[in-house]
Amino acid sequence: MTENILQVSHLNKTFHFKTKNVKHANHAVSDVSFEIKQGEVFGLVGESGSGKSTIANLLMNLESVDSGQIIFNGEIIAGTDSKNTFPYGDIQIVFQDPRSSLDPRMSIRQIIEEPLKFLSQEKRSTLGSSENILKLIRAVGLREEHLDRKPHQFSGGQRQRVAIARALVTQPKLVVLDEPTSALDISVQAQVINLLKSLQKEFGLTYLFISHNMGVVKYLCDRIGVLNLGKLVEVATNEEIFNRPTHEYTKKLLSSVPTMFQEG
Amino acid sequence: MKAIRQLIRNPFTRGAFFSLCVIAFVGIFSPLLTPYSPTDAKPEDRLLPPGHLHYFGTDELGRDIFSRIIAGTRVSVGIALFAILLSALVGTFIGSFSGFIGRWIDQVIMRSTDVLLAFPTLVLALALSAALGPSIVNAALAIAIVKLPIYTRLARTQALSVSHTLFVKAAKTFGVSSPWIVRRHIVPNLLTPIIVQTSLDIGDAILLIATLGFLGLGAQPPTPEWGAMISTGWNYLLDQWWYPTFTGAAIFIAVIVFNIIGDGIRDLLDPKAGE
Repeated sequence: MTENILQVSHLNKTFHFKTKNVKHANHAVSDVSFEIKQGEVFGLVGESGSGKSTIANLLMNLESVDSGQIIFNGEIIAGTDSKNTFPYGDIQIVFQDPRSSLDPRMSIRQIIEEPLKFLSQEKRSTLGSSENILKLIRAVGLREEHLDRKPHQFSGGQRQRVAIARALVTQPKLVVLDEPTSALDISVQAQVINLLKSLQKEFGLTYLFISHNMGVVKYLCDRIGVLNLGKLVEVATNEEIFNRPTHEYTKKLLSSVPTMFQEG
Repeated sequence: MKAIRQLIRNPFTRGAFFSLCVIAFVGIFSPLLTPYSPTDAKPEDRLLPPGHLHYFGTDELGRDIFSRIIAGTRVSVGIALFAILLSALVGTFIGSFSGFIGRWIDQVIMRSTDVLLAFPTLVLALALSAALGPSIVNAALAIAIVKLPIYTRLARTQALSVSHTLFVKAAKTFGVSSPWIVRRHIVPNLLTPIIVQTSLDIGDAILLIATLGFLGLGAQPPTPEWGAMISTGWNYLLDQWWYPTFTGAAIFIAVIVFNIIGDGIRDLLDPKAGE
């Protein structure tokens, strides 16, 4: 049996906000539990507002959990009891919009090397060596001369390749892909998805793939969790979700997929 | 450089740009350009009218006014530049931290700038330089403090919007420190409006320095500073018109040149202005 790289148990997150002095609470994530095995692609699907991105933020330590815990590689990285140390570099994220996720004032080389800056000296010198950076930039389909350019000189798809290279530079054990293609043109989407798939095979990566696009999820993911209003309503293998969905919401979600994917 | 070429395209800013080059040249090489010593008194030559020996005449101690104006360029423009650059540098960092970190730090900093902004600029500059003691360095510090809230607020507003971009969020997931994020991500992305504000403020600072000098709070005699020169010169306005007139013209030209350049840079960097 393959080991769980990530285990999320009974995760809760509520946002409190005020409008016109009336307090509201938004249960963005309620009692979500799932695990991701080493080397698999786990898909998290749901419509907007279902808490997908909140889960990504909780995983990346960008938000604190209200209750429940996240165990990564055998260690608690987020919980309620004590201060947990976050394994920077071992979990990396690729965001949705590459226009905003790359600093326009930095060169591509600086962008890719940034995640290494606060790792140990030893890791920094091995992972940040010029051969490594070159290997990486070629692996994501860019060329050496691109390293000294600025983000505005690239198209959306190329920028997302840079963002992927930046995520992979630390050789992470888990890569969180937060809707990595939804801000791209349709034709470019397919290229980026294929790149992600080939990188996963080549480096044996583990992905948490967050998306609302059922077609892409079907193509890429081994197991899928379906989120609805902050609750995980169904977790099953790719084959089961698409052929024998058990939950009503999953069926509804599948019926909303354009026919191209239903037939194909 | 592309920016300079674009500044030169407009005849108005072209004139200002070349005047700016002249002012910079005069400021840098002033000791080599003065025909007479700007500080040594020569009583036998006092209050001579403009002529071929003394282009702008001489003052009540027989010093050549042309030489004093040239020497004063370095003092007045240099101190104004120093004050504004200091203010912009400190204000940018304070404002960036304020906007990025938020919470109570932001509140404290913003309320402090409100207090500073509540005073009229000149009154506050007068009070500060009087409290610090009359000297040219203290006058520069006073101007830097008076201008500080403008840069702090400008930087904070920009920092707020930059803090919410995905590249800052991504940087947080790498475990980098807040000073790193401010220095590498926030400050470089808010420099444009700061540069515009700086170029617009230099003219104002030259006037402020001259005002403080005029009131005896800036440069002390015999330092050839424009404001201080007018301060003694205006007593002679009716009989020896050249004494305050040429000095006043120097201030007028310097301020207007910096203002036109400032406007030019603002138009240049404003994305809405277009081609």
